[in-house]
Amino acid sequence: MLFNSFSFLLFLPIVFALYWWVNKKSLGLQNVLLLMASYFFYACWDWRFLFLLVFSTALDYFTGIKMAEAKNLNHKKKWFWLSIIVNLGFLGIFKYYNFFADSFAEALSVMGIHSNFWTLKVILPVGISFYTFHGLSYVIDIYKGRIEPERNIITYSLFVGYFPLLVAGPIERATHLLPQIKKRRFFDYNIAMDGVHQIIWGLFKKVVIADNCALYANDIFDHYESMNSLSLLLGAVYFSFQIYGDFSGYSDIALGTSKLFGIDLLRNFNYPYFSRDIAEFWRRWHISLSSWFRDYLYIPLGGSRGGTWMKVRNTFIVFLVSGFWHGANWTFIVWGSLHAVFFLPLLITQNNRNNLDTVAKGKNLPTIKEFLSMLLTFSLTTFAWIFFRAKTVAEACSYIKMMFSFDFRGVIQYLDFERYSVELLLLLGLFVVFEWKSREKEHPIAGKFAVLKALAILMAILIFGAYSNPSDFIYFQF
Amino acid sequence: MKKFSSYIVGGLALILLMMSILDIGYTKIYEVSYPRTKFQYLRSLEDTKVDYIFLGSSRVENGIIPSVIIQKTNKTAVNLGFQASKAGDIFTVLQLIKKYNIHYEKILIQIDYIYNNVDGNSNIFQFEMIPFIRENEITKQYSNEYSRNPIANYYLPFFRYCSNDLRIGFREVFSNVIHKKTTIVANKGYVALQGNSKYLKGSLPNSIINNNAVFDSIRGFCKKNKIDVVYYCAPFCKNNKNKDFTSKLKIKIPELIDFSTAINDDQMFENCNHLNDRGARRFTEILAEELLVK
Repeated sequence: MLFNSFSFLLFLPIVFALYWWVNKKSLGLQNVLLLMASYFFYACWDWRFLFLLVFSTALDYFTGIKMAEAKNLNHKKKWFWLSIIVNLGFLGIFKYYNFFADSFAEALSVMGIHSNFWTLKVILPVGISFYTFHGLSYVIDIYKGRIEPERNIITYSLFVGYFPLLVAGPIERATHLLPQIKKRRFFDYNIAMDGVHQIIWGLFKKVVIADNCALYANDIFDHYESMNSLSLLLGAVYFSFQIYGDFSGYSDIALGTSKLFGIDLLRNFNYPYFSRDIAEFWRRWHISLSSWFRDYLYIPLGGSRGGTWMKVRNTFIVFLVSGFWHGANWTFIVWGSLHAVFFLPLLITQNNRNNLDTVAKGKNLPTIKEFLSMLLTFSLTTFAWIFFRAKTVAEACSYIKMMFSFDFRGVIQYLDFERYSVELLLLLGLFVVFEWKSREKEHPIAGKFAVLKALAILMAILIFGAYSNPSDFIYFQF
Repeated sequence: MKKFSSYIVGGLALILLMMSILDIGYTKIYEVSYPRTKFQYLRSLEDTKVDYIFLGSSRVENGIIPSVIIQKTNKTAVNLGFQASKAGDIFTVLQLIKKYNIHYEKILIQIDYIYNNVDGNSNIFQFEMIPFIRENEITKQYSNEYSRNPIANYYLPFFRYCSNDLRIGFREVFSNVIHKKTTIVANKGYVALQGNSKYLKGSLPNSIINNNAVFDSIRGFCKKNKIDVVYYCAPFCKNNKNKDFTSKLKIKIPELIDFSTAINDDQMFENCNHLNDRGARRFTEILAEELLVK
């Protein structure tokens, strides 16, 4: 069930109405209803994977309690590693087994040894990377003594399986979400209204920005051999906006939906393309994942302690793992490595925490320096997105080589689906201006004239939405 | 909660109102603007007289040049061939010609391997017709038979424009508003193909179906309405497999005029089934001399 589908349009009001109706009865009933709705939502993709979700939830629930009850550290460790190994084992089998088998076979074939490794025909369970990371953070927090285990299985199951965040995040923390689930929620008109507006904005980003950009980016990337330099550059820019509109749009819908149920989720995006350097970009892009890696990988590895070499090593590890988390393909690993390379100069010169505030706060326009910094950061991220989007590293390299060949034959090219390659720029320009004006708010519809802005955005969704070729949310594959 | 429910219900009502207004606006624009599509061109011929009307698939659209017919015969002609048309599409156009009260002397229908397609339709024709599905029973029936969401398309305002936005969405409406012209009207429905594929080869079906019920309907319709109709088969390139298909077709349609080998020079084909502009010019001359001048 997609957030931008007709079935979700039916599902959401039914669950919403039942939820606030049972609210009068008890908190337990409210949570049971949300859990059932969440499992139904998940089963709509593939009911068989529901067992995997339930198993993963039960495993972390029991190991969490066992760790708390362990008589000594050895026992505690035993339960901790059981959870880590099983969770990562599932992730490894479903997501990475074929990648490792193929890569190993290729490596052997280079040495002249031809092997016939068994590749598994497995479908990646939707959201496995997200709910596994939920569970891991919970187990690690208990092990480190930061939190107590949750003893109510419904509460814990809802923490893992809560439908707005189940398939593509944000990756929640037990310290943030569990207390909210344990507390009775009361309907708040202003929060619910804000939720509706955030859903509308998320839909706009998905249906108007991401899906339109997808049409152009797909056509350009799929036929990159016949494209000139300008089209290839535009293809990369369109993909940058596609992935931003797609993922941040999904997150907005998730956050907005959750507000309707009185539950606040972690903010996942904060206008990342207005970042002045790569470090700022990572504080604003997929925030819940970046902070997860910071807290559960970078800091345990030693963080910024131990000198420059340690910092560089830890940064590289975090970005490589982050790339690999996105998918079992060398393209994601190169993408992660590139970001590490972009990050390195800031780290070495200790400039990685220079831009902590909002750019040009309280002003209409940025300074020339700020503008050029944003442009450079956007260019670097766009360059890296080429690897993220390409099917293979070789394809990405070839794409980049052609992009920098400065071949401008035909200048403005006519694409296969009967559009000129530059046509989308006006819409994207307007979108950037609208986001710029709202960069100090959680989402552009918030604040003054919210209802009017919501109506205008709805109209834009109707008129400019790309409905003929709706695409799945990109992050569902992770 | 009451206030919130009112907001949601009011919002939904407003969305429905916006959709209705947009639907009416888009449809009106398609109705009144200068024809950009073949279907709009067909509608624009309402209550007019044309001597010769050509119907069929892209092998008509890219193969018959009305200006050549006019030059050769001093009579008017239009090309109402639609890309990827099947018998059902041709039958619908035939019915619409009557509905729109278009007068004519003769109708020429191109039939070839499409005889084997009892089901199916032309997506292009379907897209171009969508703005007009509420216009009459013929378009409504066509939509019911071939479109993916006929009920939503017909009854849910603006749904048809959203679900087909690439073809008839905002961009196409905007082009209509600013009168961005296509060559449809100037060329009277003919769309030229340029160039020539290096390795021309093709294949016709190796068998023919027993009977095409839709084609029988076309024949019945022509007979009932006393239409002077000519069935013909347009040229194929030399390197075409199963050439005897046209003989089989001629058994099914004895009155069929077979032009399948009328063009021997492969340089006149864009691909094995479609003539290029030079080939279309030559073939139209041959057809005019054979069928219309004699």
